Amino acid sequence: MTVTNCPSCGAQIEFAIGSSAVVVCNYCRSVVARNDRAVEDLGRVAAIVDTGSPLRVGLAGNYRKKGFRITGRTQLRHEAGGVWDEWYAAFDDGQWGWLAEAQGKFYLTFQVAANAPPYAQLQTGATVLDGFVVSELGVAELASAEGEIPWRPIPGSRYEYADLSGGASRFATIDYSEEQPIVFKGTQIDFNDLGLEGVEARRTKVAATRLNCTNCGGPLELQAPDRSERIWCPNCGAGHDISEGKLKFFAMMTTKPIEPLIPLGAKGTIDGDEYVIAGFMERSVRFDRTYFWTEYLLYNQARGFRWLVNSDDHWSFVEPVEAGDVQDGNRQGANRTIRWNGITFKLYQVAIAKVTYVLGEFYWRVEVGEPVDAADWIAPPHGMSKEITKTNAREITYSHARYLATDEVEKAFNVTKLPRPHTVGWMQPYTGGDLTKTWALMIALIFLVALVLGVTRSRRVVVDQMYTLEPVETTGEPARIFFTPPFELSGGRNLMIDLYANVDNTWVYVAGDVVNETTSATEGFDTTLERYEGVEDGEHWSEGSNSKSVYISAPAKGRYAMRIETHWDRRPGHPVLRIVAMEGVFRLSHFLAALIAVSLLALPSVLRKISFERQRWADSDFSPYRTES
Amino acid sequence: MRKFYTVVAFLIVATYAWADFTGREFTETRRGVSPQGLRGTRGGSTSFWYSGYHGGK
Repeated sequence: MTVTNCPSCGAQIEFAIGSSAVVVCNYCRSVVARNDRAVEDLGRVAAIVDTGSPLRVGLAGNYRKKGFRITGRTQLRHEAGGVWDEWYAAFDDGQWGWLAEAQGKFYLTFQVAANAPPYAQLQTGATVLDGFVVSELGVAELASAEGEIPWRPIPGSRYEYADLSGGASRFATIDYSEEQPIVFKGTQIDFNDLGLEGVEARRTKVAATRLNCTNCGGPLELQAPDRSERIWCPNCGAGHDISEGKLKFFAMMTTKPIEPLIPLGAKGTIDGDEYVIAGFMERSVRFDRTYFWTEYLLYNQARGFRWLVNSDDHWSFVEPVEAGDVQDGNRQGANRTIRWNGITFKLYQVAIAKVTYVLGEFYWRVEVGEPVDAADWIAPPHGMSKEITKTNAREITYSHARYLATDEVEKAFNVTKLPRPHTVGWMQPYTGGDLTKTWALMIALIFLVALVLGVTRSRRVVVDQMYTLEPVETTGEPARIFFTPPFELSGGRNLMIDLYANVDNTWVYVAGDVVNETTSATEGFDTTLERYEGVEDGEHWSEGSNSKSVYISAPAKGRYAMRIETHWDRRPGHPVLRIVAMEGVFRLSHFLAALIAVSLLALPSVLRKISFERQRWADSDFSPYRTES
Repeated sequence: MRKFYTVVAFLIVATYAWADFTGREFTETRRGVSPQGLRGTRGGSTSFWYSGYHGGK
C-alpha cells in the first residue's frame, strides 16, 4: 500500500493495489495518477451519477474460485446519451477484471494479448478476433470515476471503442484509448456468478421523479430517472434533454399528437416481470405507401428496457439478443434466412425505418426522423429484427419478438377494449391446426403398408389358358361354355382374373364363375371385351379395350375351377380368349384411394393454412407465394 | 381438428391395410352355389381333365 496526498487538495489518498494506475480523491474528485517519482493530478471528474447499481467500491467477491475486490469504477457517457458503469476488480492473483454493467447485464472481461484491427477498418457486423461480431463502434466520454483504477482515465477525454459479441455469452471489447488497441475478452455473467456475499442482485431503486414541463408546466414523471436521456411531454409535445435530474427544453413536436392505446406510466406483467411504460413512439417504413406502427418502451429495474410493439393491432414483446448468437450470413445486408436459438427465420422485409412521433422518456436521445436500416425475419410466433444505426455510435442490434394476443396484452396491462386485428399479422401464429405433419405421417404409413404387402404377399399365377372361340351351334348368336383346369387357392388373398380377346371392331361377352369344387360356392362376374376403331373426317378414332380385369374378394382356401360362358359377335373368324388368374395381387387402386382419401380429408385444413399464409406474406417483397410477373 | 383428422385418417389407413392383407375387395361379385347337375356333367367342373380344353358342353 502506498499512502500519499492529493496534489490538488492535500487530502490523504491510498494506492492499496500495487498495479493500480490512479486513485480518485474522495474529497476533491481529482484523478491522481502515480508514476515512478511522484503523483500527478490528471484533472477533476464530475460526481458519480446514481445508476442504481447493486455494486459498490470495496465489495469482495469470488469468481470461479478466485477472490477479488472491487476497487473503483468509471462512468462513461455514450454518444447517444446515457452513462454506463465500468467497475474494476482486483483479483487475488494480481489480475485485473473489467466488470461492465449495461441494461441490467454484467460483462466480466480480462485484458488479453491479441492483434486488433485499427478502428478505422472496423465495420459493424464484421467478424474479428476468432468469431467475434462487431456489434457497436462508438466513442465514449469519461464522465466520472471513483476509487482505484488500473488505467489512466483523463477527465473529459473521449475514447474510441468496439464492442464485440461472440455468441454463447462471449463478449469482448477493443479499447482504442492508447496507441495500441487493447483487447478485453470475457463473458456476460449472472450477478450471482460474482460470489458477492450479502449483496442482492436487485438494483437499488431509483425512485420515479416528478418534474414539470418547462413549456406547459404539466407534470412529467420519470420512470427511469437514472437512465433516461430525453423526455417528450405528453401534454404539449415539448422535448427535453435530461441532465442530472434537470430538464433542458430543445424542441417541440410538430407532428399531430397520437394517443397511446396504453397510457404512459401503466404497469403490466410479462413473463413474470413487471414493466412500466416509460415511452411511446411511432415509426414508419416507406414502400408503395408509408406503413406506420407504434412501439411502447417498457422499463424494469432489473431487466432494463424492452419493447411492446403494435402493428396493425397485432402485438409483440421484443427483447434484445446478442449479435454473436444470431447466425446471419450477411450482417450488413439481409439474408433470406437467419438462425437464432435453433429457430430459422425467413426474411420478411428490408427497409429504412424512421421515427415519426415520440412521447415520454427514452434512454437515448431519440429524435423524430431518426433513421435505421432495418430488416425483419419471421418464424411465427417469433420474429427477429436487425437494425443498423449509422448516426452517433454505429451499432448493429438484433431483437427477438414474440407475438402476443390482444387478450394477453389487455390482461398484462389491465386495460380493456384494445382494437382487434382485422388482418393476419406477420408473426401471428396459425391456430387452425396444421395437419401437414399428421398428413405426412399417414402417407408414410400407407407406403409402409404397401411395402409390407409387396414383401409378404407375393402374387401367384393359378390359371393361364387360351381358348379359340368356335360356336357349338351354327344358328343363333355364337356361344360357348367351358371350364378351366382346377387350381388351388391359398385363402386370404384376392384373385385377379385378366381377360384378353383379340377383338377388332367386335365384341366378346364373358360370364364367369369361380367354383369351389368342395363347397360348390361360386363367385360370379361378367364383362364385355370390345374394341372399335375407324377413321372419321380424316381422324383416326378408337374406343374400348381388348382386355379387362376383374377381382374376386378373398376366396377361401381350397380347390377351384372357373366356368366360363362366352358369347360373341357373328363375324367371320374365331376370336381367341386368354384367361389369366392370379392370387395375391397388389391393388394399386386401393393404394391410390387410400392416398387420395387421406389427402382429401386434409385438404380443407391445408387450403385454410395456405390462405392464412398468403395473407401473412401479402405485404412482403419476399413472399414465397408471390409469382414473378 | 388435428385429433379428428388423425382418427379418421388412421381408420382409412387401417381399412386399407386390413383389406389388402386379407385380400378383400370393395366391389360386389355374384355369389351363389353351382347346381349339382352342372358339376356332374361331362366336361363339368368336377370331371374336367387336366390336359386342356376338350369341347365343354
